[in-house]
Parts: sequence; structure tokens; C-alpha cells
Amino acid sequence: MTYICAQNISKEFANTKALNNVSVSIAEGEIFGLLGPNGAGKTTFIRILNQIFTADSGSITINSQSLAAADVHRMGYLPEERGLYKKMKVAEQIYYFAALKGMSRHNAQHELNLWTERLQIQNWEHKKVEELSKGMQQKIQFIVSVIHKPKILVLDEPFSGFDPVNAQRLKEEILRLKAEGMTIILSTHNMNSVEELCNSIALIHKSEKILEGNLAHIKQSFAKNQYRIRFSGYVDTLMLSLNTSYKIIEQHKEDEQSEFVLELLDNSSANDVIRHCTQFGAIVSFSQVIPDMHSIFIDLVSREQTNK
Amino acid sequence: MNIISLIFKREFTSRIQKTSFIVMSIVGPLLIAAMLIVPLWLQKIEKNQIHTVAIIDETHILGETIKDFENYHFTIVTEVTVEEIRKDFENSGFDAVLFIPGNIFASNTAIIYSNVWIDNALKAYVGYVLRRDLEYMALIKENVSPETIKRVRTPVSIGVQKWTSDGEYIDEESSLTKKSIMAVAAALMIYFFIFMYGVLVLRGVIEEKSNRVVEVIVSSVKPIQLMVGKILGICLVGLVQFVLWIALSFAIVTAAQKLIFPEIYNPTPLPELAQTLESSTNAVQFTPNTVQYDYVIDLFQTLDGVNWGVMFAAFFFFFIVGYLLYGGIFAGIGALLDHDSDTQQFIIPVSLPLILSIVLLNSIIVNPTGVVAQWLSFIPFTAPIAMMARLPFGVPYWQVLLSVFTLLLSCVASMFFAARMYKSGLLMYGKKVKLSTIFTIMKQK
Repeated sequence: MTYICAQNISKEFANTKALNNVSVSIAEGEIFGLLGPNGAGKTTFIRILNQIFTADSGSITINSQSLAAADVHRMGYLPEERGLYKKMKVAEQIYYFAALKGMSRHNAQHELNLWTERLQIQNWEHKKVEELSKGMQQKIQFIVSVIHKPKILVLDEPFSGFDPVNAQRLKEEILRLKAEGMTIILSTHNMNSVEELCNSIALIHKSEKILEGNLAHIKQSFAKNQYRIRFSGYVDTLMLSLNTSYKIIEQHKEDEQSEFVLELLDNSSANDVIRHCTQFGAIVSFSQVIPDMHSIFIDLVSREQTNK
Repeated sequence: MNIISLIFKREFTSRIQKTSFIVMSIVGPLLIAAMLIVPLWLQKIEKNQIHTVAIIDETHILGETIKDFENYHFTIVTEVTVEEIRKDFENSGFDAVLFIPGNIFASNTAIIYSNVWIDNALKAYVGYVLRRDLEYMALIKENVSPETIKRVRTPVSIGVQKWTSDGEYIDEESSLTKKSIMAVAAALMIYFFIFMYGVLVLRGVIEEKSNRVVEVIVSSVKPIQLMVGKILGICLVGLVQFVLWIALSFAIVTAAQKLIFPEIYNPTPLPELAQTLESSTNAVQFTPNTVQYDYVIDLFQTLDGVNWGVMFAAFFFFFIVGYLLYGGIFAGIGALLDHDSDTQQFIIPVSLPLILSIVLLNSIIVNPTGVVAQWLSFIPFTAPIAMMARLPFGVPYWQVLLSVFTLLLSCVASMFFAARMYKSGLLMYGKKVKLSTIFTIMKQK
């Protein structure tokens, strides 16, 4: 199932380790989130994958084939630092980058028409890039990364600089590309979009991978046996009785109903809690507390920080 | 290879379509043509304007032999003093006053009064006529017969004939100025082109870096492909500009010759000129100002008599290798910088050898086979300019070969340097670049 397999990648720049023994495996047709704090080594990893840098050690295979020079034609890359030739006309620029990726002008023209329609870009044909609005330039940059229909698309902070409407449009396009079978690597600090888009993630911190796996599994594994209960009845008595056998994390009292989160201690199950609660009133809702990526990220990174 | 040609094409077409390129292609030839035409044109205006010189002759004899000379018209005035003319000079209608005092036989001094600059040629002419007549009168006084005076007065002209060390006659006298002009023009031209296009490489590289477009490019192409495509693309822009300049300058100058200076372009053939001089009643010829005039004619003939084939071939070769040498260094440095504002501190030191060879240009031209000229043409950094300046005078083959050899060798070295910097520096941002940075990168494997 593994499509892109990076094994034991290390890279050093002038005595600083940018990547230390990082291994990642990415399945075909998934959106893979590459997370990590600033300076963790994400960009270095992306650049090695794009063959901008070569790794000091380790190997990358795509479909079990070693990464080869010709693979750049199958890759699309949207770097975090955007950049286009300001004085060049939009269409010429896109055809140029498509040609560098081995695409004929005719095909590029066809694709460009589709993309400008999808992203709702108007009156671009004869404009220079510098004459476009910032949002438009971002869209053009995105088109540059996908115009040649890559098999693998690397997006580094794709949503930065987009208003919510355009960000949503872009999100839909990314999902559409995924549905068409494109494998997408998404590097971002925006955890909401990770949760919305990614199938699996890897977390890189201080040059090392500290977490990798299916997003849902990871979240589940970080669940701490905590439950959120919405309750109506004799709250105060319930609280007193719960306090002895469970750990109450938080609670909000309201007029009719109250909500609280409690953590199960050893040997007890969710059923026990429900049974206990129903003695004092009615349960309105009951759900396991599953941490979001945001808190997992902060949790892991700060834990690593204190460890070192 | 295909990738390089794509980059090459973009570099070339995007630059050639720029307004600045088009403007430069028109302004350059206009300036060149203006440099040739304007002095001539001013001279022509000057020649057409007749200056009237009043002669106040207290001797009542010497003034009469002073005939109109070039654009000076002489009139003898009587019953007027210098003082009277001076007080009402503006309305006198004269441009100058020649005062021949009565005591000139003793003092040997005459004075020209004017409110404008007095041409040396005018002074020389008046001086010559007065000296000749005073001598004549003195000799008569000594009882020398006029026939004898006429017989012994012998105009002498000194001809110069150069030959080569092998004893072959060369038409040196007239062509020396011609060659010097050609040498200066060729040296300045190649200096200008190498400098301008070298810096263009630097700016081009930095533009891509500061735009951040470079990361997208290197995700598709190798840095060395980008570098080669860019350097070659800009090189072709330079060559096109050069050809345009030469073609346009030629066209403008030729048109100007036909329109403004028909008489200069058809100078009197030499034998005919000699005959005119012989038949002139006054056996003694006096033509001081024609020296300057001849120089002007030469300037135009320079455009005809030069071995254009050799000069063009040499320019193309030395521009390309000189450009590659400097362009490589500039590209390498550009790859390390991320702002246009950082460039100044590097442009000057790198182009110092170019500036030096222009500073030493005079000593190269004065002595084209001298030690300075030879060494400058062997050092690759100064060789393009030094060789272009020496070529019109002729350079031994072994020296040309040595110069070409060292240049090609250093070109290769420069390209290696650029490639190394490109590989390490293109995605380097926010670092202060020092000389030590460059050495560190060079030392990396």
C-alpha cells in the first residue's frame, strides 16, 4: 500500500542537523499531513522529496522505485514562500513552468482554461503577475503547482493568504484532486485543515519524527478515558458522589442542565458512569472526549520540550 | 538540454522585449553617432561663419600681405585707433582687431584684440605672414636681391615613413591615429558590454531569489541548468544588442555623411591637391589648420579602412569569454545574496580589473607591445580589454594564443565557481555574505 517510502533520511547543514533518521510512509491517493513546529525540518524533508536537496543518508522510493531525476515531472510543489516572475504575463508564466515539467503548450493551455474556471479567475490572460491582487497571485501559484497533473502534490501552507471563501474553494479542489487519485502531502500549522483533509499525519519535531499514523487512530490513542456528560437532575448530589470514584476535570452549571467532563479511574467503565448518573437524573448526552490535533500537537511538542 | 533551452529562451525573449533593451538599442547608436558627428558638425558651423578682423597697420605696408585665411576675413581700417574700436566694439562689426605697431621692426610684436577666444591657427598664420615679410624687408635692407631671396627660401616638409621590423613599408602616419581611435573604441565597447551584461546576470539571479520564484524552478530543474540557461540567454541578448548598435550606428553615420558632410566624405584626391599647391603663386604653403581637418577626415575613413572582419570576430570572442568569466563570478555571488541592495559592495571589487584596464588604456595604446600591454593581455581579468585595444596595432600570434588560453581556462574555473555557489546558495536566505562565506562553500564537498 505504501506509495512514497522515505527511510532513515538524515540531512545536515553546516553542523546543524535538519533531519535525523526520519522515516515516513505515505499511501497512494491519501492526503498526508506533515506537521511540526517552525524549524523542525519539514521544509528540508519536502525539498529532499522534490530533489532540491539530496539527503546525506537514507532513501526515498516511489512505488518501490528509487527517486529518479525524471520524477520531478510527476511532482507538483507549492512552496511556503510564494514567488513568480512579476513582470511575466500570467499565461506565459504558467506555460513556462508547465514546459519545465515536460508539458506541451497545447495541453497546458487546456488545463489552464479548466483551472481558471474552477478557481474563478477572470481577466488574467494578458495581465502581468504584478498587476494581479494578492489572492489572485496565490491562485496562479497554486495552478503552477498542479498544471502538469502531477501524481504527487506537495503543498506547504496552501491556505495562507486566502480569504475564507477562497480557502474553502481551495479545500474542495484539493479533495477533488485526491478523489482523482492524486497523492497529496500537506504541510501546515492550521490544525483545522489537517483534521478536515488528512488521512494520516507525521509530526516532526527537532529534526526527528515523533509521531506518525492514521489520523483517527492517533486521535483515539490520545483519548484519555474522559467523557463529556450533559445531565439534568440533582447535580450537586451527583457531583459529590462522583467525586469519590471518578476524577472531575471540568464542570459547567446551568439552570436546567449541567455539563461536566470526568475521567475514569481504574476498573471502571463508561457503563458504570451511566448507571451511576441515572440514579440522580437524566443523561441528555454522553460522549467520549477525543482530543483534537491542536491539543495533541501542543501536548507532544511541549512534552518533548520539557524532556530535553 | 531541452530544459536549458527553455530557460535560455525565457531569459532571452523576456529581456529582448523589455522597454529598457529597446531604448538602449536606440540610444546607444545615437550616442555613438553623436560622438562622431557633433564635433564635425560644430566644426562645420564654425567654418561657415566668417570672422572679420580689422587690421590697424601703423607701418602701412605689412597689413596688405595678410590675405583672407580659412574663415577669417581681413580688412585694413584707417583713421581709427584701437581705443575707438574697443569703446564701441559691439557696433564696430569686427570680431577682432589686429594691431601692427609702427615699431614692429624693432619690437617684433603685434597684438590681436578680441572678446572671443583666438584660434591658434589664426595666431600662427598672422605670425607666419608677418615673420616672412619682416625677414624679406630685412634682407632687402642688407642688399640681398629679391631673386636671391626667392631662390634661397626653401619650404621643407618632413615626411614620415614607417616600416615593420621585417623591413616592410607600412602606411603608418595616417593609420596610427586611425588605429588609436579604433583601439579606444573597441576597448571601451567591450568594457561596457562585459560590465553591463555581467551585472545583468547578477541582477537576474538576485531577482529570482528575492522573488522566491527560485524554489519553484529548482523543484523542476537542476540549479546548474538554470545557471547555464540564464548565462547563455543573457549572453545572446548582449550579442544582439552589439550587432544592433553597430548596424544602427553605421546607418546613422552613413546617413549623416551623405546629408551633412558631402564635402568631407569626398576629400580632394591627393595628386590633385599637390598640383593646386604647386601652382599657387606664393610658393610657400601654409596650412596649419588642415592638420586638424585631416584628423576629422580620418575619423570617417576609420569606418572604411578598418579590417572589420578581424575586429568583429575578436569582439565576439573576447566579449563571450570575458562575459562568461565575469558573468560566472557575478552569478555565483548573486546566488548567495537575497536583496538587490546588497549588490553594490560586490560589483565594485569584482569589476576592479575591468576599471583598471580602462585606466591603463592610454599606456596600452601608446605602447601596444610594451610590458604593461603584454601583461594585461595575459591576465584573464584584463585580457579582453587589453587585447581589443592592442589588436588594431597587430599582436604576435603566440601572445594571442596565450591570452585566449588563459581566458578559456579561467572561464571554466568561473563556471565551476558559479555552479558551486548556485548549488549551495540559491535557497540560502537572510545570511550576511562575506568573503569567508564563499570560501566555506568552496571547501564543501
